[in-house]
Amino acid sequence: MTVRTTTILEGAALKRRVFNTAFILPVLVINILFFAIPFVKVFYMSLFKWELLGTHSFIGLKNYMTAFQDKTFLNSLGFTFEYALLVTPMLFVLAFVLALLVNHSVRGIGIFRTIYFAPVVISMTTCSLIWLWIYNDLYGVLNYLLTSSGLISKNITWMNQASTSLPAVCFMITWKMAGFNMLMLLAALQGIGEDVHEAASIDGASGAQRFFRITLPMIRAHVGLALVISIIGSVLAFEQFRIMTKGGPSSTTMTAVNYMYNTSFKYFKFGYGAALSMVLLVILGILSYFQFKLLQDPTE
Amino acid sequence: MTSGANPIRRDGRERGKTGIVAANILLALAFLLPMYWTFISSVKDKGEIYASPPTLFPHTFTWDNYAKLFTAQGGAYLDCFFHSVVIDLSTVLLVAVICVLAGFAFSKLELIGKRFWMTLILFTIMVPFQALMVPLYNTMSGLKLLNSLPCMVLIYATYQSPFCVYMMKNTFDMVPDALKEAAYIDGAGSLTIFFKVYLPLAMPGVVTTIVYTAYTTWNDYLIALTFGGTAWKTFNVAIADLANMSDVLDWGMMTSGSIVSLLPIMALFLGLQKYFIKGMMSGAVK
Repeated sequence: MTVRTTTILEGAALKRRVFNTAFILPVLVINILFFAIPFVKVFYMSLFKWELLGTHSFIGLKNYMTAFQDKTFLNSLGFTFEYALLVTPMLFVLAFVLALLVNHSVRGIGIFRTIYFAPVVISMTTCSLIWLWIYNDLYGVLNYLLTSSGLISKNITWMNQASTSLPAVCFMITWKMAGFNMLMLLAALQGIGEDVHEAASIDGASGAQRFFRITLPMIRAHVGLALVISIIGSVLAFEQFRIMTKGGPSSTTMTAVNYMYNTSFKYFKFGYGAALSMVLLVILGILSYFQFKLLQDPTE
Repeated sequence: MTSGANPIRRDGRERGKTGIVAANILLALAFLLPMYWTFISSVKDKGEIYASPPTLFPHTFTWDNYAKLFTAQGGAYLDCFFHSVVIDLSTVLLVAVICVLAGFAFSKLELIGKRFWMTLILFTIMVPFQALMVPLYNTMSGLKLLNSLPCMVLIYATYQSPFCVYMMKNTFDMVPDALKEAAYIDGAGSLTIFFKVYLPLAMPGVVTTIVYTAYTTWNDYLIALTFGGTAWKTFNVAIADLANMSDVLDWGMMTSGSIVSLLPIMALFLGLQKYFIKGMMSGAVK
């Protein structure tokens, strides 16, 4: 092989590669403009006192110092985690029940899977409105059912305090998202051979024993992944609280994203909003790291 | 060993199956109830919707709430519905074209900096859009694009395309390379190979991309709220505003608005369920 032929071949190959790269160019251009640049700029902006009107001035890490002393922000973070901690178990208990119920080869089982999944495709906005109507204090069907069955003596104003609105929103999310987690768990369950259960029941294991001793350990990694995805989703909660509780009363149900949104787009404190975004990015970065780890080795 | 070998256990299984079907029926009804309740509320008249006790089957049946929704404020809600449709279709078109091309290139062609670009795209999937809204707002304002159709379509495309490229790459990966070699030998260029050989085989992936994009865009609230302004207010933002009005809420409009908002996406889901679920599941396990 001579040097000359190699160069000619490489020249042709290079030309083809340049031409081929045009295929990915549109995606790259928008990615760089509207993702990569903002990704760098969010840190840059967080170092400034940067508001809608007037000039912006460099203030170093002052925004971060403010953030860690900002009671409303810290409370919003706390509330967001409280929400994630409450909604995740609710969601997974129901998702497990559903997954076990539809993991059977009964004729027509597909209809049930479809029904359980249906709320997943409805927008969070619409789901919030649907349940806001159910939870309405004067005309809501929930209060009617509870009072007429004698469980409560007078109507509850569900959305007026965090102690009732948080569980109410979690219940709505459980209805909306259980179908999604059901499918993730179902995929895992179907990876377990029928013979494993046969062997266990021949050995005299009860249904509960089989579930906790065999099924759960075998799909541990899948459950872990579904959990991380669900927690990431909960940490990013926005519209369900913005629409259903408006973050109130007095910011007690304000989520972190909602506070960041208000800071940036209601009060137009872009520099401070960027610093809050950075805090959010770090938290989600840690969660995504776990997701990535779980994805790398889905079997163990 | 089949269960037929043991008549007693088989009997137990049959009983178990009946129990499972019964439990499924009960839960399915519970799952459908909120949607049913919203629909029948939306077709009740003004007196009945607020009646106590509430009626499970409406005595009155009227489309008045829908008529009101689409004529209120000089048809403002109809305009917003129209905005949503235009934004959705534009996004689907853009994302489908650029992601199918890019997915094909990443899978089958030699590129400059292939690894680096693919890493950037996979990284984008991991970063939540919410955390980049502030600089993005600044960029869009600098480009004088705020509150415009291109602004929203470009943002949707930017944050949906990484996953769609990834999905299309996987789709093309399943098509054997031998086809490409044969076509190259026949003297076909990259474009010919793409249109004649690969695209027809990748159609299921294309449909999944379209469904994913249509769904994600239609259901968005935050991007539309931040970047759409009033000029491109979407239907979701409009009906959410109904809940934020300080005076007495109009539940007739809110329930009919909810139905109008969920109907297109539910129809798409029921029609293309397979693609819907494929898109969403691989979206989660990205």
